Amino acid sequence: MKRQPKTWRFELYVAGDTPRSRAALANLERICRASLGQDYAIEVLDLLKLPELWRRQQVLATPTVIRKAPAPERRVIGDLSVTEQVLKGLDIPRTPEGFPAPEEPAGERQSRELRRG
Amino acid sequence: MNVSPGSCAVAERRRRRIPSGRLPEALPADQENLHRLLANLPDGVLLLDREGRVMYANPAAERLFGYSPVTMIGNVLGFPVVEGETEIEIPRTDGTLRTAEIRAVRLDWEEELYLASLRDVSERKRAEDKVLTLGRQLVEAYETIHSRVGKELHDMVGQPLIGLKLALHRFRELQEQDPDIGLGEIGTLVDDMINSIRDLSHTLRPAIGNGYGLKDSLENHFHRLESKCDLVIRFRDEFSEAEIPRLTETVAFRIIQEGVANALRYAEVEEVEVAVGTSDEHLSIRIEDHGKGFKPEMSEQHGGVGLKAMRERAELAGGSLSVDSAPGKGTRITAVLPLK
Repeated sequence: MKRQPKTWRFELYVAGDTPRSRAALANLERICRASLGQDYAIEVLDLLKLPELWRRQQVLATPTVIRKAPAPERRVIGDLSVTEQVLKGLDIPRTPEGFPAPEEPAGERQSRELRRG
Repeated sequence: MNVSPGSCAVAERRRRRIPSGRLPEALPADQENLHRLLANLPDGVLLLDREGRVMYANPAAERLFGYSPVTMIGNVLGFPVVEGETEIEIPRTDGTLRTAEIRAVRLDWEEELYLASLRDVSERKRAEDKVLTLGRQLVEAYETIHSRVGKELHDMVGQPLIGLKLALHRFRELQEQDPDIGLGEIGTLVDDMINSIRDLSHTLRPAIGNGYGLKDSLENHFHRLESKCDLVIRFRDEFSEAEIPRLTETVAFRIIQEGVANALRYAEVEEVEVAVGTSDEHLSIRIEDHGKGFKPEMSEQHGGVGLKAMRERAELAGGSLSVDSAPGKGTRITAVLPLK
C-alpha cells in the first residue's frame, strides 16, 4: 500500500552527531509531535557527510531547520529550545487545546547521504 | 530589502518615529558614528527580517561567515530561535567550521526585525575540547599504569616467587637425601627476581629525576636500550646554558623515548640518530632513521596512537611536532618546545 505523503516536511541541518544536534532534533520532534500529530516528516542532513551541500552554501549555520512543505519555505536556526519561537519561525499552527500527544514517537526520520562526485 | 550602513537611517527614523524628510541636523553624524561603531565591533552583527533574511551584516559577521561584503546580504540565515545565548556552527565558504555564540533580540521598530550578535568562540571551544581530551587521557593513563603494574607484579614477581617456592620444596626433599647439597638454581632464581624488580622500579620512576637532567636521563635510557636491543643510538647533544623547565624536560624525554621505541618497533633499522639542543628560547629535538618509513597521514588516521600522543605532548608544553616520512625513505621527527 502506498504510504500517504506527509503534509509537513522538514529538513534539519546539523554539523556532526553532537549534543547540540541531538538536542535540536529532540526539540523539533517534540514540537512537531505536539502540534502536527503524525502528519510530519523530518529529514536529518549532516553537513559533515554532505560536502556538496556545504559547498553550495544551502545553509549558513547549523542547526538549521527548513520547512520544505507546505510552501512557502521557512527557516529557523538555533537549538530550537523555545517552542513559541520555533512555531512562529516555521509558521506552524499552535497546539489545539487538549491535542492528544501521540503515544508512540510519530513521524518519519530519514538520513540521506548524497552521492559524492 | 538591502540595508547598507547608510540605510540604517531608515531604521533610525522608525525608531525615533521621525517622519521621512524631516531629519534633524544631528542625524547624519549619528549615522556615521553608528556605521563606524558597527564596522569596528569585534563581534558580528546581523540585521534579520521576519524570515531570517540578512539585511545588514557588519564586517566582523562577514569575516565569520567567510563572505564578501555584498554576497551576504539577501541570504537567508533563518529566524533565530535563541533564548539568552546559544551556540551555532558556521560552515564557512573556505571549508572550515567555526563555532559562534549567538544572541538575538527583536527590535522595537514598526517592521519586525531581529538584531543578532555573533561571537566567534571556535578557539575557546577547541581549547575546551583539548582540556576534556587531556582529562580523558589522564584517566586512561592512570588505569593503564595500574593495569601494567598489576601485570608486571604478576609476571615479574609473582611467577618467580612460585618458582622459588617450588625450588625450595625440591631443595628440602633433596637435602633429606644428601645434607651437603648446594643451593643450585635457587641463587639464579633470586638473581632473576632482583633484576625483574629493578627493571620494574626503573619503569615506574619519573622520566627525569633523582638529580639527573635531560641529558643524563637520555644517556641512561639509550645505554639501557642498547644493552637490551640490537640498536645503536647516535646521540648528539647541543645543550646551551639555558635552563630547561622540568615539564619541558619530561615532555622532551617522553617524545624521544616514544620516537626511538617506534624506530625500534617499525623502522627495521640498526641505527637511530637523536639530536637534542637548546637555544635561549627553545629546545629542539630531531629523531631520524633511514628505515622503512611510512605515510604519516595514514598512520595518524589508522590508530597511530604513538605519533598522536607525541604531538599532543609537544602541544601540551606549548610546542609543536612534525613528522617527515615516506615509505622506503626513512623517518624524521622534529619537535620544538619553548623554554619560557
